[in-house]
Amino acid sequence: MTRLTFMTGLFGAVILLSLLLLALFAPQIAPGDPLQMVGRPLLTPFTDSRFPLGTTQLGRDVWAGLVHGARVSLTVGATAAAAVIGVGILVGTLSGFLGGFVDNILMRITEAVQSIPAFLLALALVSVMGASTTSVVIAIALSSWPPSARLVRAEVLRVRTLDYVDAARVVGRSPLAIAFLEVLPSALQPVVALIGITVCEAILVESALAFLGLSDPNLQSWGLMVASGRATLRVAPLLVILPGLAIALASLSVSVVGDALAAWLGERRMI
Amino acid sequence: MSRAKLTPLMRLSDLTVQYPTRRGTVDAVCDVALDLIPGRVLSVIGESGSGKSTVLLAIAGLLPLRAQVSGKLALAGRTDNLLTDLSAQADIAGRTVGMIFQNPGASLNPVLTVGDLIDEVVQVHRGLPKTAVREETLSLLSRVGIGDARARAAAYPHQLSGGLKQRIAIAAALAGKPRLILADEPTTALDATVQAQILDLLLDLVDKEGLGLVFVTHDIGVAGSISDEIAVMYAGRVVEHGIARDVTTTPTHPHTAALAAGALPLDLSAAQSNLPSSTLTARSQSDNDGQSCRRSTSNPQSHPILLKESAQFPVLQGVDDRLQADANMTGLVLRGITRIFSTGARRTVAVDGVDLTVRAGKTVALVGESGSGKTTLARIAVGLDQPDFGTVTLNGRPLTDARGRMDRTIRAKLQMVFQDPLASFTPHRSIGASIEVPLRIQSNLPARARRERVLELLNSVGLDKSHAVRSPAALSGGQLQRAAIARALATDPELLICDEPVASLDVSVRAQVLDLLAELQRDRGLGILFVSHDLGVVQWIADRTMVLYLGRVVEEGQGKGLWQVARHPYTRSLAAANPSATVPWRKRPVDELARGEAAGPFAIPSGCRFHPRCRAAVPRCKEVDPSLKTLEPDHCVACLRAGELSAIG
Repeated sequence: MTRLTFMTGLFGAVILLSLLLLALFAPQIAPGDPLQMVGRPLLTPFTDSRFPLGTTQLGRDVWAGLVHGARVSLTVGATAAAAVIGVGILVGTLSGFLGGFVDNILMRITEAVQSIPAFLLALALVSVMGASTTSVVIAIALSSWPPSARLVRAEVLRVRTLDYVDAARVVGRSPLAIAFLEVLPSALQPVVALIGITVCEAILVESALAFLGLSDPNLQSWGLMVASGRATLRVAPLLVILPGLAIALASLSVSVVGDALAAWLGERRMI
Repeated sequence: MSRAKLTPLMRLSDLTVQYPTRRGTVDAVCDVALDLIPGRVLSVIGESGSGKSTVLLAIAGLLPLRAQVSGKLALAGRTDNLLTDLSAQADIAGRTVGMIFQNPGASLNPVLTVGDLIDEVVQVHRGLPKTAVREETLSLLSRVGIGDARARAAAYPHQLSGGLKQRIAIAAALAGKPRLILADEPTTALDATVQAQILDLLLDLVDKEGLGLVFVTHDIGVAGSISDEIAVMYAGRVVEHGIARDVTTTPTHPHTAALAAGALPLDLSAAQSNLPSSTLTARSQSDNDGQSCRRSTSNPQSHPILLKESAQFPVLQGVDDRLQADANMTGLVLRGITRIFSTGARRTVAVDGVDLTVRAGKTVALVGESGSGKTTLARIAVGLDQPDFGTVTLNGRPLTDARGRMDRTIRAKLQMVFQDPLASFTPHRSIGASIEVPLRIQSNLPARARRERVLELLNSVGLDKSHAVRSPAALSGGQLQRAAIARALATDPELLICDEPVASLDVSVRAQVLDLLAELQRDRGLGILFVSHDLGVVQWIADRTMVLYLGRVVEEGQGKGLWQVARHPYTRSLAAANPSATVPWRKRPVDELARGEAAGPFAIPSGCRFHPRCRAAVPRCKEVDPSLKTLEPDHCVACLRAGELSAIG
């Protein structure tokens, strides 16, 4: 791992950790419902000690919104990414290891899904399923799994020709055990690198959906804050800039931490 | 010899190469001094990590910039220090020094034709007008023994065989008219007969044009045979340096002695007198089991592959008949094995009607060059691959059912040792856990008993508890191959299939692993199918040897004596191509060596498949495909002229 990767990784980790702490202790840090109207609308930041980052045009606390928004973004990001990678690993491993007919079918499905722009597909799915956190997670998972499936498949195709797979066959391991206990763990390194990007993408998609009003209306999220701040962009630009900055910081930190982790694991030959 | 020739071409002194790391500097090479005069060959030998390649790269100025180099290098009368002066290094690259690498495939630019590639080098170094450049390129190509240079110049590297690619690389190295050639294991990746041709070419250049050659190799046989002087390296230092003959016959440093002892030369003159190890004596006393050669049933004229539309396969018919007779036979029996790989419309016959029997306590060796089908045959023997025609039985029972599945009890009896021990262990699992896997699958032992058994197995191959907890990457090649043998023994097998088990090991551990195999065979009565391209190793370990060429057995006979009585021109060519440290390369019989290279299993010639390369071929060989015939008890040859050709020596 180069010094640069290490430093950016450390920087990302610090930001990510603070965001996680904010999200975890949101009810303690900013008690009450962040959607509640608590003060005078459009208070300028740093003028009222009760509302350090000011208020929105509806008189909601911006700081509380950001803190609670971190909850939504990180939860959706993590669960959606886990679902994406999970589907990807399952499809990719079966496809790469079994080959032939199964591979053909699975890969054609993958290409079909990939041919639809992921965001459009997610948009369509949420419109059908209704705006809730669960449907946002499902929509992201169903629209974004193809790249990880293809990556896992390529790695499995490479690893399965190695001698230790033959060695496992010679001692009588079952094909399923070989696929998931011998081949898959070695094929996971690029997947670790993908985790960062996938979480990052999920956070962005969630924000975009919220911006379009397709998120749980009862939860304050960063995308929603950008959307509602849009109306007062000229008088109170910080209402858009602050949640936008939060989205950027969260996705950036996840991405660089993922990269550093992959580099570190690759060096240690742990996977 | 003129005065000019006696002035040194290269004078290297006090070469030290260090690499800075996080844990301080590491000495890759320490205080190395080498001299070379024109028209001489200096070999630098050593095991992996000994620093031999680093020395070569330092002379060529190709070390990475972070390497800290000190010392003095004078080349061809230049006075500036070529080790540290970057501009001087750029000046000599290609012009004074030409470099040849191990893997010619990787050192040639794949998007340029061979002609363009050499044109470029010629242009850079010689500044000739455009028309003269191609002339020079063609003359370079014919200088390295490429006939039909004009046609070859239009080919891309991937269209050429390994030997031709290495010739092209040599031509490119000669393009700047260098006085000194640096060769880093230039023949290691090549087949034995092709290696012999490349060595011929290099020595020819040294003798006729007075070039100096520095030849880096791990093979003391090659080094002893071609060089005037040998420098032996160990842990970054030259531990012995002298006249080639002295170094190989009377080594003074124990490491040189170990290299020489581990080399297992192919001995054609004195049958078994001076082969090493006590195990050999024990084995020569055991009687020959007197099995005669199996005559291949596949009649070439009615072969299923040749008769594409044929619905009935005569091979299968013949095998079924004979299978009755073999039913009470013990050991691993392969009959009429044919394996065809199809890619698109192209059909590749990798193995073509091979019969093979491995009995308990005996070692059968399969010898052949790349593309001979020996690995395919080994994979079929262990059930990793299924033959398209023919049958495989163990103690009379078929290896697999109709759907290619293998019974657990049979699975346990056939185990395999792979060529690359590191690749044969799952990287994320400790050695002990890897050895435990077969126990978990094949036995009902409880966890504690399994762990004890793992330690027993490790002890039986000379490893201990401390190795069990380590990851594969933390063990050396020899230790890993021992662990691989321990894993193979976990299921208490009757037969071991070993695919080049010592080919990737350094010579000093090679003998230990072979000894271990022989010892286990004695103690457990293991049958061993041993695949190898190394005739010395085969002569040492085999009770029976089968020589494969393009998927067919061309000669079969006793393990130790076959090379002395070899009749097939291909077998004799293999023996002749095998360099021996004590026989100077220039003095060996040249007329035995096969011409050219095998076309590969996708372009099998008509008639006898060896005829295009055979020096004894007659017109009849183009038409008639010879079958394996018993020439004398325990010796079969597939050659039309077998009766006329006399034995070696």
